[in-house]
Amino acid sequence: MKLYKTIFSLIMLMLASSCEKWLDINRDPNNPSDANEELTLAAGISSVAYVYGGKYQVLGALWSQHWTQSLGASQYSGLDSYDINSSTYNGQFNELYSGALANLEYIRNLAYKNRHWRYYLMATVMQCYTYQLLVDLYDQIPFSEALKGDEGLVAPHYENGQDIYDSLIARIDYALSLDLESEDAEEVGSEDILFNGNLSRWKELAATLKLKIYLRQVYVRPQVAENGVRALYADPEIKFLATDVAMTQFTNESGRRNPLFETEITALGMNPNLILSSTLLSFMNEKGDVERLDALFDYPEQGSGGHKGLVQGNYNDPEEPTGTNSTNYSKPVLLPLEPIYLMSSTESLLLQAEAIARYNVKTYTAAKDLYQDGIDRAFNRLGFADGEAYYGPGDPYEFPAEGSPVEEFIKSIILQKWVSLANIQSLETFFEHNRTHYPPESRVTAADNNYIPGELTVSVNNVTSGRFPKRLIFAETEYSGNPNTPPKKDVTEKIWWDKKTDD
Amino acid sequence: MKRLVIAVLLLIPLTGIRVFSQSRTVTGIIKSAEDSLPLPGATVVVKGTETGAVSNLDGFYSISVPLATDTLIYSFVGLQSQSVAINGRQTIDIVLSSGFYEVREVVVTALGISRDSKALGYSATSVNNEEITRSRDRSVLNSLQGKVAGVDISSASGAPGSSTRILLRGLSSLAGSNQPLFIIDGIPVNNSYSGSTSINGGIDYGNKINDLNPEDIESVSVLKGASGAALYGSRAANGVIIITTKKGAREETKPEIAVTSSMGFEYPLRLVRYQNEFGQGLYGDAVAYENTSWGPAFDNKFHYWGNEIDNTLRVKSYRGLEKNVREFFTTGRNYNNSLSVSSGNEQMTYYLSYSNILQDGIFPTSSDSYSRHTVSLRSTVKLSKRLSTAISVNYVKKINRFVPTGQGEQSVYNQVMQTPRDISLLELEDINDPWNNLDNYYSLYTVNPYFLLKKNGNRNNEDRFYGNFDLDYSITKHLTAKLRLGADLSHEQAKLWRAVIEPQGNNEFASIYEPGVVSESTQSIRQFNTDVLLTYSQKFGDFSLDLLAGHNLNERSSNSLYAAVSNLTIPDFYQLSNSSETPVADGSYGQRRLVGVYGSADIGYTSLWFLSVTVRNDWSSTLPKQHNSFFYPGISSSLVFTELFPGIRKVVTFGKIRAAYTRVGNDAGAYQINTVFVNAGHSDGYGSLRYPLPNGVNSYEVSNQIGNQELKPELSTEYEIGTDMRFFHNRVSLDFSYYNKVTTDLIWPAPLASSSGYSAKVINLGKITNKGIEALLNITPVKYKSFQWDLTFNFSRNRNLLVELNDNLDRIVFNSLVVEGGQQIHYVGKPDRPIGIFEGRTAMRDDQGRIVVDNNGLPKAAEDLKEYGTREYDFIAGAGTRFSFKGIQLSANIDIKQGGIMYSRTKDISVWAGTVPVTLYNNRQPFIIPNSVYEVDQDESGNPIYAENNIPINAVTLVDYWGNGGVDLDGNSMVDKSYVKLREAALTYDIPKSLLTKVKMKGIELSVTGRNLLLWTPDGQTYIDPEQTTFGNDLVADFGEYGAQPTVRSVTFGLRLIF
Repeated sequence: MKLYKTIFSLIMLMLASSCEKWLDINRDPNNPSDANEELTLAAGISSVAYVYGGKYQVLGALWSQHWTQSLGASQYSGLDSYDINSSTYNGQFNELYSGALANLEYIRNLAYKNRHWRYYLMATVMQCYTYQLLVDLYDQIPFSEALKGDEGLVAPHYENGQDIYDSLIARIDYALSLDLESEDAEEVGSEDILFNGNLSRWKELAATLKLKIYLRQVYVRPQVAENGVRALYADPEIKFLATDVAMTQFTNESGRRNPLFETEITALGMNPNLILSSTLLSFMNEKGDVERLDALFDYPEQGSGGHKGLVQGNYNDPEEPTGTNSTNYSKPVLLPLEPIYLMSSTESLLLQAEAIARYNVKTYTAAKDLYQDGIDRAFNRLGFADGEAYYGPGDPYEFPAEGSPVEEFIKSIILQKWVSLANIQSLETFFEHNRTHYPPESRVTAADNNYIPGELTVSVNNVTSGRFPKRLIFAETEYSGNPNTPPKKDVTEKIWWDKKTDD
Repeated sequence: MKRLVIAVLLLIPLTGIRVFSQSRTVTGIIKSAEDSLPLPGATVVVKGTETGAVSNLDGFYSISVPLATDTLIYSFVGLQSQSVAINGRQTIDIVLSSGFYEVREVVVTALGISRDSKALGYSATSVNNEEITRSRDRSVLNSLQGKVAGVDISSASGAPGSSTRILLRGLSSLAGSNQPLFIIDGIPVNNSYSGSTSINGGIDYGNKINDLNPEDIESVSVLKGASGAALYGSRAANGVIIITTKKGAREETKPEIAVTSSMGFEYPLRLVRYQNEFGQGLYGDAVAYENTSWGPAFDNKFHYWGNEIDNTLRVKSYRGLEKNVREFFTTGRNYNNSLSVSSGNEQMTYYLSYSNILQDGIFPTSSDSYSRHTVSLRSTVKLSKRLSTAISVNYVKKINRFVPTGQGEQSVYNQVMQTPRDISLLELEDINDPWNNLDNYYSLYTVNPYFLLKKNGNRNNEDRFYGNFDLDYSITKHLTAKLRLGADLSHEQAKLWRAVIEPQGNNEFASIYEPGVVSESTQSIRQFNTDVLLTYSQKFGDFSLDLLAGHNLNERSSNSLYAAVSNLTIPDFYQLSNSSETPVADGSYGQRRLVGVYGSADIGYTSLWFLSVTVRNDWSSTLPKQHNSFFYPGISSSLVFTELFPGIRKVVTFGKIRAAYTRVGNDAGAYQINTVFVNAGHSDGYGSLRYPLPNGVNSYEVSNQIGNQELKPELSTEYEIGTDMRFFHNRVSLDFSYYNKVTTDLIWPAPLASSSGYSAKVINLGKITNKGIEALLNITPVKYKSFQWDLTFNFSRNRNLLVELNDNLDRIVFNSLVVEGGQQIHYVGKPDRPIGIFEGRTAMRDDQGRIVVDNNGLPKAAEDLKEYGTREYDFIAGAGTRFSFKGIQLSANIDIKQGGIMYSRTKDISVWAGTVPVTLYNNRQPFIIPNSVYEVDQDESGNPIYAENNIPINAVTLVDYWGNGGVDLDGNSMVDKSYVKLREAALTYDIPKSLLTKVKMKGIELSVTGRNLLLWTPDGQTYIDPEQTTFGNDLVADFGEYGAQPTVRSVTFGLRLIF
């Protein structure tokens, strides 16, 4: 037996060497094994845009009560009743981490090695934008240990939102400090799907993102927020965004449309789940903001005249006649070519207005101009020349008079953000509601005589004993794959910067 | 009784027939016990030698035997062989009797070498041509159902050409294939599955082993364990199915021509049992545009229904239509013809055949159809004394059309199942009728199924060549060299089209929209295999020694192309150019290679004891270089103990015990060791965004899967012990095996938390065990003259266990059905549990076990998912009976599977739509869920305080209640998959030979065969045939069915003529 084995292994050895080459065919011919920054940047950005402008828009719109689940359908009844679990938005968490953030991390690492500082800045800013989004949704997220699976680190620890916020500022500052203007710096072109390689715009976005990060902390770390904002305004080099940060590369073909349209209209059919919430309707009616209402929402296909909204979360309305469906209600206008606004100019301008209103870093007039400019941009987006008719003296959206209490300014600015970002950046208005408590949370139901139009009413079918939702629940794939995932938090538990106390 | 000349080649050693010089001649006549007629083509072999002879047409044989010889062995395929002591006789007449169901004595083993079954140290079962063709089924695998112990065979659906899956000794690979390796005449062939397991329009064009013409098959050997298979390499770890094709007989003087023809009729076997008390509507009210049966109770009065056209409404009697679904289906038909010519002499043999099948399934129209043409040519030529060659060339042409399964507006059956109980499907047939067209069809949520059948479609066109070329050279008397080249090349071209659906008018607000789609795809799969073998055979006194050394090269490659456009410019015109949109186009290529070196040594001591040792080393292209070589040995032995105690032969005619031990390595899939970049694209599960972007920017993303440079092969270790015993002169026989198989280092794309930046890494993990028993019992209770009654029973049970995963994983998910805020069904593997556990939501219960309801009185879902059961059967069994009297044979067999559960979308959607009796609970009157509570407050520590539920389920919430699965939630859509099936009943009549001599024919056989005639399922399972699947033919297939079309019952009339 021994001899036999020896002979056998000899034969094997001989054959092994000759077949080594014949066997060397395991390099994947279908997928490249290398890619540079130019090839990977667009995917890193579009991944964020896809989530933010798609499913996150639905989440934001339901929870900030722009939209509600329609009758006769049930796709979002769980979300609209705050009945969520760790599977809810698991896919989006995965897309952002293993898609967007991982790709942007690859670019950051490669660009750092290649000293391609412009790519480094772009990837860093996009990554910081995404991390802030995730912190605002989940409170704690993996950060410094994240995205290192290829190095064997597969169970990153979760870190506090506050620490991550501080790191984001540091990362943006570092990226801005690099030699971006050198003559032999790399050219960035259309792979930058937001600004087509315009470096100034990226710097503005970086500055505005910092502003947003600071302002988000005004009630939890007032001093950090104030110092940060003041430092930004003290630097004469710094400019904030006055243009939209938007992905516009859509065409009316399957798989190439605006993702919200693609999913809600093309894929989920002609009987939409999403209809106008009576919360937003009551506010806009109250303010006489009817031109924008008509532009944002289609009239009901059935029934007589006028917009009709459904009380938030009342998708099982027993009073409605049998078989009532979404055709009896106004529906959000979703368009195949609608850009995805990662940060609209309205948001940026209103952020700046708030910074001035809070800290007087510029004049009252500057704040008022920014506020009005912000409203104009929102009207422009819907095809109107401006919003002057709504913010002039005595008009519903008039800027508070000079010397008014700061809270008055904040209320006007945030309510305006809530209305103006409807249909495009609803999630941002959800965060801003949690931060500033505008629009306020109603103590009575929408049917109550004391109901104040525009106040948020807790979903009729809520599963939270009447409490509003404040966050998402850590993702299912984290629980199954990362033992360092913190214990589950309730959907109604506030996140770290949600500290404002109403007096 | 078989008067077919069956390839006696099986029994003739490759070295041919040699005549010894010092010999004498023995002659005689070999007859069949069944009808006492002569057996042409039976063989006589001198025991312990390769010397043999074949009987002629009159059953006459003449053999030269060496003087020293004392025993002759007589055999005929399908009959029991007999050993007869010569005792100096010159004339020996022999009567051979039937071996019912199995070729007992001769089993084709690894590398196509025939072995006396008593020499085998492992379990192998053969099924002969007669058993296979009696089914009159297009599929060889379907024909084996219920006939072999330990073989789990299920057909995916009743659709023409759909696939069949087979599982031997349980699941042992998580990501790899669990299908056995298929070998035709010594070369591995492709058994891949074509289709889509999408739940939005699933398609099953079948698996490739079903391309074979059953008439061409001589026998099928099933090597259930890894043992018999070590010589075939990695892929044989799941067992091997060895198919031996018919060859021309050497002793024929003139060509034999066989013609078979059959015609079959198919009917739905199991349709959902519907309720006939409530009709169209919602919340208890009549709603004209609903697709559900939640309306008012039937009153048998005339009511308006459907849409209004030109101020006109239709009227019909409002009553339940018991047969509206059954009458929708038509009678399926199939026609099967086959012609073969074969002949041969000492120098050469040939076999030439042609067959065709035309099948149109039970859906109206020919949207579900199958046609297959096969041509085969096989020949052996003796080129010189030492050199001989064999060639086999086979061509298959197959065209499938399949009606898609699943949800949404692509699946026809989905529309049928949701049709309200009062609406006649037959009356919807004319799709141009103004009431039935898209604009005025009664439902806003479904499409006229006839529209889908008539306007949509698909077609898969396959061309396939496979075959082999063998060269044999006798170097010396004992040493032979063999070269075997094999190739299997298939090319498939599929086209799929869907019509534009954009209703106007009354249905303008319908939830159905389809922009129109046309797609074309091609797939080529190639496999090349070469073996070089040296065999050495020698006898040393009572010992025999067979040595074998071989070298194997195997290459498998595939490439595919896909292109599709949607939004058709010209409706009803299906060309890729017919759209203003940019087409989606993609292609991929895959290639893998394997080098193997192997050897075996077989030692025999008289007919008492046998020992076989095998070794093999493989080098695979798919593994990292440092791990790409893996070695695996095997050893098996058998002891014929009746040889030791001849005294017991009066009772125990034959008795053997056997034992085997084998290890088998299994490589990875191609391209899993490196991390790559993939073309960018994003999806939310409904819609997607693809690259390039409209501004011409293309982009790539870091793949979500991390490559693994440390990947090792999977390793299976199996031992089996068994016995083969026959009693009372073969009137009773029992074959029993016990096996235990352990598989480690399983290759699996282990999920990673996406915060790592990746979603998976292919790693080696875990351990699976499969332990089980297989038993086959044959009894011949009555045997009197030409009457014989045979019974057969088989039983097997497998205990599968995923012993462990790894430290980081508490479960792995094979398949999931998750609806945002609703259904959450997962099909998973968990440590210390069998593979394939079903998990789903269950109702929340308080600590007293009472159901917790929400403020609508509906059950809340518990936080944790409940384990509902596993895919695994408790046992599989079969029983058969056969009566034969002269030329008449009547046989039947049943197939039993007990235990296990599966997901049924058919049940799910039927309950949701209120069409089934379970939804009649409490006569649909308001009720409070018994023993339920609701949360009234929370105590100080935030724990809920419950009070007795007083919120009734009303007409509105009733729909949600059932739509969500009642109190069982997701458990409602899982069904017990136990069944008993009358798998086959056949009556055949061979016209006596005496009547045929005048017409110069060798045989005429008439038959009628019924397949799947009856189905019994446990109480409450009134929805589906649990064999069905829409999830392919491997591990995930056992998840269940997502709107599979019904299986069929068939009756086939056949005729066989032999000239």
